[in-house]
Amino acid sequence: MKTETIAYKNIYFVYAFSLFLFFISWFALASRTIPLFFPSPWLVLLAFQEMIKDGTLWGHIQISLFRILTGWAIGSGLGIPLGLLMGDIRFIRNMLNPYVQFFRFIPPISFVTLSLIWFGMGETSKVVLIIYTTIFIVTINTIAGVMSVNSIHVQSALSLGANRFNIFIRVIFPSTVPFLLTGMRLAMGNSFMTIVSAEMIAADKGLGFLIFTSRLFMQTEKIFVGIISLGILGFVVDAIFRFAINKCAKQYLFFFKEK
Amino acid sequence: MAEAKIQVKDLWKTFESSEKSSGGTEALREINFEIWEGEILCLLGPSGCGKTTVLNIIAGFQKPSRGEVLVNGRRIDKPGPDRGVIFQEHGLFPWRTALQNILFGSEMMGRERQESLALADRYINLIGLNGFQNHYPHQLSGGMQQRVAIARILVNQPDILLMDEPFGKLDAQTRATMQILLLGVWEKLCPTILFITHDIDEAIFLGDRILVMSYRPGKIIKEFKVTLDRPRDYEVITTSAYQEIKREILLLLKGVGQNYSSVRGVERIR
Repeated sequence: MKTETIAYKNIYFVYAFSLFLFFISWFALASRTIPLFFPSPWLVLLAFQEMIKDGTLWGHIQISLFRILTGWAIGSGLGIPLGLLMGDIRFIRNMLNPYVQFFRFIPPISFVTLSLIWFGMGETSKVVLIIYTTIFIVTINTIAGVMSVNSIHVQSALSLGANRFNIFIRVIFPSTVPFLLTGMRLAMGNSFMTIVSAEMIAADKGLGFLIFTSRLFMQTEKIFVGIISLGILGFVVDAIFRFAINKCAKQYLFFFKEK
Repeated sequence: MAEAKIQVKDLWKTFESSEKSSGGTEALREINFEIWEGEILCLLGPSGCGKTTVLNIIAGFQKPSRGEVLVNGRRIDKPGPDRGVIFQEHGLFPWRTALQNILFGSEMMGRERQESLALADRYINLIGLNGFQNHYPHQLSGGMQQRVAIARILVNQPDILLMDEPFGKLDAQTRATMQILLLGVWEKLCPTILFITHDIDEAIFLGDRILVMSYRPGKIIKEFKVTLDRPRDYEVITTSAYQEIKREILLLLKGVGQNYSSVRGVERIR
């Protein structure tokens, strides 16, 4: 058998090996210092176990996830039509482009306090921040998609009897799908950043809140729980999104395979 | 005498350039011709001679700087389903299967689903696409992609086909197959065809008439009548009548000092 010699080519083997090295290094590092400064994987695991048992971890995850998904869905729901219209109609593009170019450089975190003043301590203020985070990325990617529509597709549709509305719905929109999906994936990543900052400043629940308050009680291992949960959560959400794309929108991604 | 199907009248086209002083590029100069009902007219010329611009103007994609195009006696100013266009790049929608691509025109016309499917089926059989209905364009070979493009146009039952080097990217054998297929379709449905090519053999094999264009500014320098019998078989290229036309075209191109290497099917003649 040549299994040993080709083991490094097996992707799962490489993943497992990499994780193994990672935890060994973590243990080694942690053993040289105190848990308060750098807890060992074992302590973090115990903290996980405790927080899963008393339900607090799931509570934090649930509320953060709710805020992210709601804001992200609304932001995408607004950003996609906005991007399509801005991409397709020059007047709308010229009207709105200055604002998009201006606001997209202002980090959502800088609006945390304003959002609190305007929308209160409740969920609305956080969801609005996520909407803000999402909308510009999705809009700009959608515009890029509209701009790169293959003109032969438009001409084909025209000579097949399509009017402007049909071209918008049946040529421009489908051509844009790969771009707006990319925008949505990027926006999801940024939403995680925003929600943590927002929850650190103004929330009584959520993963950001967990990380921030654990600091007050010197529970470093709980900070690790929060951080690791964020990583896993992001990975899972993205994997589900990619899976859904592959199930429902695969034909649109062949766009890139042409030529 | 009956009116021509397509009349191209005194067409000029200058592309504005960004530099004001140069005054733009003159692409077409004084193009005049007509295409009769049910005729195959080939527009032959080297790359960059403006033949695609002529087609784009007839299709309604571009506006001429001067002159006009009449189709069935009516001046055209925008694209329409009466003039089906086949591009060199197949132009199929990559997110639709072959069948869905073919159904596109019917959707635009608001045909009943049943009727659209029946119509699609008819042209799928005619073009030889059976068994490929559910393939996406990227899963098809170049020849099959062009077949789908042709079927997609035929579903609209246009009486004019505008073809812009449709077989230019295919290998020699597939190209021959497609040419024969096109002649078969033409004999059944009798559309009026404007066929653009830079391949002399293709122009002679397909055309009733050939218009030869010169390079920049694009002008029509000569018209050839192709009197070869129809239906044509590929053996026709060995006949003396065929060779005679080819010789005349070659001599003409040589006379105007055109770059032979850009005309396919012709070895460099010095």
